[in-house]
Parts: sequence; C-alpha cells; structure tokens
Amino acid sequence: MDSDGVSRRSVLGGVVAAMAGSGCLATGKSPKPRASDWLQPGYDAGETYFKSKGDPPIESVTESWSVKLDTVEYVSDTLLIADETIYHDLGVAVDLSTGEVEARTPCVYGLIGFARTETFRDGVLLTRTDHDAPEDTIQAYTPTLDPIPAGRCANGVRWTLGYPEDLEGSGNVRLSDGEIIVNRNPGRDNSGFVGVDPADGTINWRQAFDGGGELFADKKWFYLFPSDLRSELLTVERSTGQVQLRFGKPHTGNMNAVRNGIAYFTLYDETESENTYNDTYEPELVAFDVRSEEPKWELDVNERLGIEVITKDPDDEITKLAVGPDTVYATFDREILLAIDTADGAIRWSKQSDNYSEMTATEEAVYVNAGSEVYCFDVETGDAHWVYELDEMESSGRPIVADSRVLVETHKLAEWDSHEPADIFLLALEEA
Amino acid sequence: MTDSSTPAASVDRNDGALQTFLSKPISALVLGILGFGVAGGVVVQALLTLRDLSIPLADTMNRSLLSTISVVPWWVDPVTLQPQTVLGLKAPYAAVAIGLWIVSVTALAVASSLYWWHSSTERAGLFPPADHLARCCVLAIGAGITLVAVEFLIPVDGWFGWAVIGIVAGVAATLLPAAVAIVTDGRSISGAAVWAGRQFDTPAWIYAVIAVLFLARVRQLLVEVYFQAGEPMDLFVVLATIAFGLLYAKISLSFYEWIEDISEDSHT
Repeated sequence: MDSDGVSRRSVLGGVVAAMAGSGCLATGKSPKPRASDWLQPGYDAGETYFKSKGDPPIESVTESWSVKLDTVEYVSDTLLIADETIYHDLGVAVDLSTGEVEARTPCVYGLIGFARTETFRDGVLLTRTDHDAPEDTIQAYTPTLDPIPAGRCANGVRWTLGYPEDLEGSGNVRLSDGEIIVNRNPGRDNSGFVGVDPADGTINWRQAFDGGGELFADKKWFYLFPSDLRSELLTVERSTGQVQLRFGKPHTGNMNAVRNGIAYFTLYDETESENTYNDTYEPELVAFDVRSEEPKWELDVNERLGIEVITKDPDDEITKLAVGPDTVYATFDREILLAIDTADGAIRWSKQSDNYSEMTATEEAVYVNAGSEVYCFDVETGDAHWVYELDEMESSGRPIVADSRVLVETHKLAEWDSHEPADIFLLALEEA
Repeated sequence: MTDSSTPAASVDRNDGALQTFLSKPISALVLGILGFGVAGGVVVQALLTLRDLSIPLADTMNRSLLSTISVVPWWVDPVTLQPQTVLGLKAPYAAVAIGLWIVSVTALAVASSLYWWHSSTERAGLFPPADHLARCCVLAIGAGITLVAVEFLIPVDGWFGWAVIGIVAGVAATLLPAAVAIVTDGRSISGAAVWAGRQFDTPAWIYAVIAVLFLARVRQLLVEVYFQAGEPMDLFVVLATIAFGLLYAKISLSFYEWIEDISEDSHT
C-alpha cells in the first residue's frame, strides 16, 4: 500500500505533544472512551455487537426515560453514543443520562460513526453527504450539533473525504482502530479500498480492487464479501496490503460478522419444501478461519436442531449475530435464539420463539429485541433474567448497551405496518 | 505615536548603493516579487505543516465572494483552514494553526510594505521603519480575523448576503489606501483610516469598492484555474500569490496616491 508522510507527521506530532507540556494538556485520542460509548472501543468494525464495557441491568429492569425522536415514514436505526450523548440518524442528539433532546439538526444525514482523533477535543461524527451535495462522499461533522454558526450546515463540516484532489465517490465504510476504511466506487475506474485518517480526511493508502460488497474489519485484516460474486471472500492483510481470495466454494449467502480472524457467514442451501411452491433455502452458519483457510465449523440449523428454518429470498438477512470471545449468539428468521461455542460450533443452549430479532451481548447477558418485548438472557444458561413489555409498541433494530442502560428504539405497532408516518421513540431501561 | 495629520516619514537622501541601483519603480517591483514569493513560500509551508499535523483543510473552490475580500494583499490558496476546525482543535494544535496563520499574514504584510516603501519617493533604507511595519501587520491580522468572523457568523444567503458583501466591500475600500499610508507616511491605524475616509465623498471611493470586488473575484478565478490545471499546489500558491499580491499592492498604491492628490487639492 502506498503510504506517505508518516515519519514527518510523527515528528510534527511529537513537537505538538511537547508543546502540550508534560501532562498539562491531554494529547492522544481524547476524550477517553467511556463505558457508554457505542460503538466503542475499536468501533466494532466486525459487527460483533459484543459490548465488553458497562454495567447494564441484569437482575431487574425499569424505564429510565423515553423520548420521541421524530415522526417519519422510513427510518434508519443507526445510533451512536459518544461522550454521554446519543446521536440518531434522524439528526437528533439526546442526553444519555436524562433523555433530554440536546439538539435537532437537518445537517447530519447518514450517520456512519464517531471517531476519536488526535487533533480534535471532541472527535468527529462521520456522515454521508446529503442528497443535495454535489458529490457522494463522506464528511466529518462537529459533534456539537447546535447551534450551527450562521445556520449553514457547511459551518459544521470539519473535513470532506479526499478534498481537494481525490474527491469522488464513497461506498461501504468501516471504522477500525483509528482508521476509516472505505470500499470505494465499485464498478468504476478508481474502485478499491482506501484508508482514511479520521482527523483530517486525507487518504493514507489505497488498494485497487474492482468490486464491492459487504465490508468488515478486525485488527489484522479487512474483509470483503463481494455482492456480485457470492463465491469468494476477499481479505486484505492490513500490514502488507496483500490481497487474497479465500473460501472458493460457490454459494449463496451473507456475511454476518468477523472476530479475531474468524469470518461468520450464513450460507443457503437450495431445497424444496412441501409448504411452498418456489425454491426455498435452508440457512447454514459457517465460521471460516482466515488463517487456515478452512471452515472452523459449520452449523446446519435445521439438521442440528430438528426444526425448519427456511427463506424464499437468500438476500433477506435472516441471521443476526452477536459474537463474543467464547460464544456466538444467533437468531435465525426470528424463530430461534442459539448460543454457540466459538471453538467447535457446539450449541450451548437454544430458545425458541416467534419473534426474536436482533441482539447485543455482554459478558453476563444477552439483550434481545422481540417485537413488543425486550429480553435479558443469562449467557450461561439461557434463562431469562427479565422481560420488559413495550406497551402498544414494537422495537426495531438492535438493543444498545450504554453503560448502565439498555436503549431500545420503538414505534407504535399499527403505524409501522401501515407505512404511514410513525412516531419513533427511544426508550432507556436501567436496573430497577 | 505619529499624529494622523502630520506624516512623519524620516527622509534620508543618502540611501546607499543598493537603493541607488534599484531606482523606483524597478526596485519596488523586484522587491515585491521577492517579497510576495517568500510570503507565498511561507503560506505553502504553513499549509503543508497543517496537513502533516492532520489538521483538516477545506478546498476554496466554492467560497463566497465575501470570503475572498481582503483589506491588504493576500495569498491565493486552493485549500484553507476553517474557523470550525480551529474552534474544535485541542489547545496545542489550535495554537500551531493560529500561529501559522499569523505568520502567513505577517509575511504578506511585510511583502506589501516592502513594495509600498520602495514605491515611495521618500523612502529611506531597504525596509520601512519597524513601527510602520508593525502597524501594517496589526492591521492585516485584525482585518483578517474580522473578515473570517463575519463570513463565519453572519448568514449570507440571498439579498441579505449581497447587502453584507456590499457593506464589507465598502469598509475594505475605505481601508484600501490606509495600509499604504501606514507604511509610507507612518500614520497610526486609526489616523490612516480617518485619512483614507476622506475619499468617501469622491468618486475614488466608488472605484475603490469596484476594485475590492474585482480583486476578490480575481482571487476566486485563480483558484478555479488551479482546480482545472491541477497540481503542483506549492508552485501555484507561490506564483498566484506573487501575481495577486503585486496586483493588489499596486491598486492599493494607486488609490493612496489618488487620495493624496485629493488631500493636496483640498489644502490648496
């Protein structure tokens, strides 16, 4: 990979650090990550949804606060937490401790992430440019959303990716260990990967690759699961830039998560079912070891559990994962929740329901959104510690673990299904 | 402090060999090119240092006319430091960023002073007196900060925006010859501003407003040329700063001489 200016930058950074004095002024990435941060630390570029920090409710639960975010027809459930402030894709900033709306802004659109930087006191919010912008690219916005000087959104933009000479294009983005990785411009001349400095948006390195798809990252590699091929897993070693195509077995499926060199896919075997008249697909969860280039284990859900999980459309992402160091938690088509040993794929426990959807795991509990209920399961036994009933409401997206709270985005049941504008709320749960 | 109504340029007719050789206006032109060239180099180095420190720079392609108005000769930069960036930086980075900006402004003010000083018939020595230089630098820095703040804090959309541009251009036009008067006559900043204000009821002020807007547009166009032609940025900044700086300094000087003529006519 091309790299430039590193030594010079480090020398200048050292000079500035020296100017800061010995401990009088903070240098390095500040403010320090907190237990409430989401997604932090490491930005969860592998989509593990495993939160190692914090003290969320386990024994009992009660409502801490609830706040209406907006009334919208369609909603992205992207939500970030940094420095005790919740940033929602609807352009709302909410105080984590009180639930009060700190700011509403039309300027933040398409939240990607929050990056801590060496240079800024308060980091940057990474967003996509809005529909009216001349270029489809990525911008860093000041986390202080309100007020914007002179009412101009441009006055909140700290940088635009690639300005001024390498501007065009964006694509799938991951934040990983202080770096922004972008799989840019699939299908165009300058397609490939770029590594971007979150402090100023400059492109530190680039790696040409013609293709796009689902992008993941961990400390050693980044991974691309091409959407057009669906037969290869592309990995790029971060230290060398070496590109490898792995897992050459033709298949249909999705990539779900990555952790410590293990890539988790849901693959679909085409089958026939007596219940349907078209082709249907049975899901199989595969843990693929990138180092050995072999599947570590494979889990045929239907065969192993003697149940029938099928889908008509393999592009529907029916599998949701949370990946811890020892256990993978998985739901399949909202029907079943499994705790799977990461070492050998053995099922530790399972729970069946008609509504388990997305979850977030911690060292002690798994928090699962299930329609109008929120569950907290014990990681060892799978027993429910508590169930919280959402009165006339339904959850969407992931439950978010933020220090002592679990956050759940909700909307009224009937509104959502009717495709009418719906009131979107954010609910905070804490230990009773 | 020199009284505003009595210019106090020290006149030394024994200028020395160098000044004899570099007779006006050749000496002014040569020193102007050298001065603005060095100032352009300082600006390039400042931009590169900011980049090396991962302090983000925004492109100046779509800047409003308001942001390209200046009171003294300025540099031409395809990328620039933005107020929202400086306000969010940690203290040591903010100090470096502001320091580099002040050094750049000072370099431009010194280059302009050199040009104006050597265009004056009553110059003495290679450099203008230190207090003249210092006052010119203070004016340049103060005007620069004010213009950045106005552009950042005031909404400039629609007719209101044009009104703001008009007001700023009017003030800049009034001050256009003031910097020259500070350097060549040794006037104080307020004295120079009052002296330059004499043009208000003359056609000179209208022409000065037009000149300020013309110069702002030239600066915009030069940046557009850069983005069409591409790199290298460092060479572009140096050459464009020499050309724009000299043009600006010459126009300022012309208005200074015009106001002087008006003053003399009114006294006689």
